Amino acid sequence: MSGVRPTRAARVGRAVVVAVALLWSLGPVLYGVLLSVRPYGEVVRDPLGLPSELDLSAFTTAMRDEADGGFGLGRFVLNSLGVAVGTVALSILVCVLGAYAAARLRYRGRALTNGIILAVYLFPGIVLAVPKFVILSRLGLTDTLVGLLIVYVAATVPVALYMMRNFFLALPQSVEEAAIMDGCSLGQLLVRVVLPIAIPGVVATAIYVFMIAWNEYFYALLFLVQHRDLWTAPLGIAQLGDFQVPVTVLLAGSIAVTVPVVIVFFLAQRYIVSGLVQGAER
Amino acid sequence: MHRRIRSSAVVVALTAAATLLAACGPSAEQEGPAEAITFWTPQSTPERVAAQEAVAARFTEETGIEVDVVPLAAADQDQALVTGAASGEVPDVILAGASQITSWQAQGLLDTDVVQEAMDTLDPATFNENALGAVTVQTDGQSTVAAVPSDGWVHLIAYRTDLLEEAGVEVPTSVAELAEAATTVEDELGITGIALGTQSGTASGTEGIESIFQSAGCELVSDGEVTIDSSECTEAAGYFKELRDSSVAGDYDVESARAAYMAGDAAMLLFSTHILDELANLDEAVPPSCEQCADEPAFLAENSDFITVLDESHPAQFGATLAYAVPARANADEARQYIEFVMGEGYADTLAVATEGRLPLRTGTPENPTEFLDAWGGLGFGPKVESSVAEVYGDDLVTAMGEGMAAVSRWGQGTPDATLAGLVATQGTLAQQLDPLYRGTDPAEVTQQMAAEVTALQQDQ
Amino acid sequence: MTARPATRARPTTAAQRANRSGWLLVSPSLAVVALVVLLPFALVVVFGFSEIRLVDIPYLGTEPIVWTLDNFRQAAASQAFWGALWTTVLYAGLTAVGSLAVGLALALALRRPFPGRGLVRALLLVPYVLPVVAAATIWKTALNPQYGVVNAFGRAYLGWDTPVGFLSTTTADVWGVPVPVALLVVVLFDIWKSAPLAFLFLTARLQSVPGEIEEAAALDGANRRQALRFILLPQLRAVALLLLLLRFIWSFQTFDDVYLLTEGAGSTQVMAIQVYTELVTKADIGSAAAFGLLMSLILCVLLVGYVLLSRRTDES
Repeated sequence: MSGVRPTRAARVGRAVVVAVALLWSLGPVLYGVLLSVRPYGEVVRDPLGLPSELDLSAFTTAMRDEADGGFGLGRFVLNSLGVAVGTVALSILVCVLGAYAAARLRYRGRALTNGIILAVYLFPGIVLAVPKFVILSRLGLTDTLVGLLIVYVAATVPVALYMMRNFFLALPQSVEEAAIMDGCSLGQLLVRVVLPIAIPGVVATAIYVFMIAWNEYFYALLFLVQHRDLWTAPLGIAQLGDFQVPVTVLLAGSIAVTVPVVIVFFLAQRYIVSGLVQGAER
Repeated sequence: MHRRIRSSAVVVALTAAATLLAACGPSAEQEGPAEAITFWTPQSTPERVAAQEAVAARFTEETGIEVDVVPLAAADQDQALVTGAASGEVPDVILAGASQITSWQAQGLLDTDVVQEAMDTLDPATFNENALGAVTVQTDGQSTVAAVPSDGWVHLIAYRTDLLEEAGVEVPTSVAELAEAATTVEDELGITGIALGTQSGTASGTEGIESIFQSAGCELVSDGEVTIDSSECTEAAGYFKELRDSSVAGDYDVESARAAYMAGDAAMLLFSTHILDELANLDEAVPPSCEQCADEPAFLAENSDFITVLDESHPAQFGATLAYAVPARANADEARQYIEFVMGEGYADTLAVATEGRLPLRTGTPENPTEFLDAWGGLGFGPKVESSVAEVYGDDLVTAMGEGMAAVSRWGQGTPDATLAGLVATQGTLAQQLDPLYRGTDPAEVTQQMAAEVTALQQDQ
Repeated sequence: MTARPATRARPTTAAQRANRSGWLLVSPSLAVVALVVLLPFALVVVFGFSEIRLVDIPYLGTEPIVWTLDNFRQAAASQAFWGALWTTVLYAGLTAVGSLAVGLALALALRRPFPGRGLVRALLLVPYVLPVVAAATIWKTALNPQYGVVNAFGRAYLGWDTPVGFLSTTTADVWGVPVPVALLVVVLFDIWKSAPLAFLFLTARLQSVPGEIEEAAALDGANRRQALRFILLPQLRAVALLLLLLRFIWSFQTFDDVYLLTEGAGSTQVMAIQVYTELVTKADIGSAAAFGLLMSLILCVLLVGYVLLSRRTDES
């Protein structure tokens, strides 16, 4: 692997770069964590100080329901969870089919369909926002989490298709051919043969889709701002910023919604990365 | 082959579009049993929502019309009304600021006929004339009242009677005198003369500028012509620098300005009426922190007096006007009934939702022209709602507040220039020029630069 | 690989079957995209090219549409449009170059194995995974003039006289050079969030560079810098160009990051924010649609340019 031996200076240089990189990437997050466990008054008096004691009251205040003097983030988290899980289920279902076609089937119009799906990225979300809202309201879906879910599915289809296609392409084709020889129908082939060996890829894609849906802010703002009981966690945190909420509580909320997605991402990190970058290796 | 696929895809898309669109003409207006209505309010803290729901419950009891009170901040109202209007799902009544109402009216989003009906019942003569002007929109020589003015707050100057006396300063009656007084206090006592929002480029700075410049007789724009480089404005800029330089603690934003006065570190404070309860130690979240306050919690209230109209020759005080608007295609009749209720029978309770920030813009009834202003003076204020403004500060202040509200003025209000003024405020165009002013650039040069920036914005419209 | 020529050689019925199955399988994806992207886009075209106002939209389809080019004429004549375009190009360009540079530095530094490399790699991805709302909240707090750590540090150790309003200051003189403070902050924020992705792709590409090439170069007497310059970097060119383009396209449309950090203050009025202002503050759907369509047009031109460029390099 390593043909050219690094010199001592290069090793020291690398250590410095790695240390700086970690500080740059994680510094702000650690700062957020440190602040969230300090009382607000202390932060204002001494911005550079370290926590003198572990004060977790900001977390409980953020998560508790409004009725109990909190900010209701607990409910917003549940809403987010529902939308994100629903998005994952629907998006994966749609994309397993589409990605298999893109990876294995040579049908006419393939380039066109791929092109249309990728063109999604050329239309800025802000521009399509109003017509999306109009269409979904005609379908009676705007004041529900379902409407948001549909938008998220559309937003995640291109990248999920791309990842799953990469995973399918990496599977050995011989198994499928054998199955076709045995007279498997397309449905049987997908469910019995392809999916079992593609499970790691499906899980990785699912987690990536989950991450996008969990983090999304703009459409939640646009669709649900007047329905406080339906707010998602990111919308809740952004809205609370306007309510003169102590900044420590805001940060506690931010950290609380960050933890689940970071944990889940780390569990499947290796697979997600390989799904994302497979195209780049060529 | 490709060709056929492409055209068939187009056909599918068009058919889908046509089906969706055809299915979606707005449903026919239904007459009949009263509909439930939705009311958007910017008064969104939990206590205030609860108080508004109580008023709404009384209305429901009386009329049988259910009211859904939805707390929405101004920016969220803008956005939700846009999506709502596009999809035909609008609220029925919105309590909104004058500038929001002006831009909604410009896009035809409001039902002004029903507002006119409500005004006819309530009698325009019972309203604060100035506030009525703020929500009146002129189009093609015709003036339309776009919303029913409800309440507002106004900037006032709180001053420490003991400190001004100590420094040998008279109560100022113009911006020039204010600047002189502030400078003298700083020289004599070594504390901040006046605390106000002065931070360059911030919303606090924007507010401070408009407030002071207006009191000095400066107009941003008149009849479509940018006048921020007039001699009045240049003079005002000079005074503004003097006021800012009277600080011993650098530049303030609104909150740190208040904190300085609450700590006894400033002799004067430019702030909104929201300061009233805090000075009287009625808001636990913002307690007075001055040296004497430890033993005497009411020290600040007792030693403070207020200027509600700084310069009688330019009665123009910075403030905010809230008014009830009805979107086009709302349940107009129910909306009108609700507005008439909260502006009449339910008015005092509505103001009591946040007394110190909701001064009545309908001052009374035809029979008793000061009924509501007097009622306001007797309302409990502050989060604890224990004592009234009249009890703490006396009836004179209540009358003075009425005068202050009558002098509320915002640049461009009630004229087509309101849009430009709104843009200048939201983008902080003027406050961006504070930095050069503070660094010693000639005020005339500063206001010329301001005029150039504002003109550029104007041309964009 | 063996199957593909075989498929093509099969009789037409097999091709037809593949055709039918293919369309069957992609149709759900197409349906979702059509409903939530293509149909809305068609509506935006209608809004942009007609006199429709927001209040007329519920009646769309029942009343004749009055077509006009006014929205585009006004957009082209407005300084707000050209100002926002320039800000956006600056923002997207700086972000694209910055995140590529940071990603490249990280990828090169972490190329050779060392103890804990897997963990370091994973940790570097945190800013990318973080919800943008949480990230913006943290940055806003850190940059707050009153209690933020950056200003506190600057005043305690760097001798700053007054706190700096990082998110509201348009320009500040630093040693006599005017610096667009707020714009640079949002660019830094975007680089912070997006560099990990560039890092991932570049790492993947680096790993597939065969070690023998470098060894051969070393035998030929090339030093490390030469190996980097003449062997590694050329291998990365294609993926780097793609990353630049993608990041530029994404940043060109950025709304969340800028809106959450500055709401467009301090001259960070990028196109997406401008569209939002036209739409929400002015309630002018026609103007917003026109601005948006022009944005899409610029992106399309860019993409076509890229495709042509990469074809030409492929051929040569």
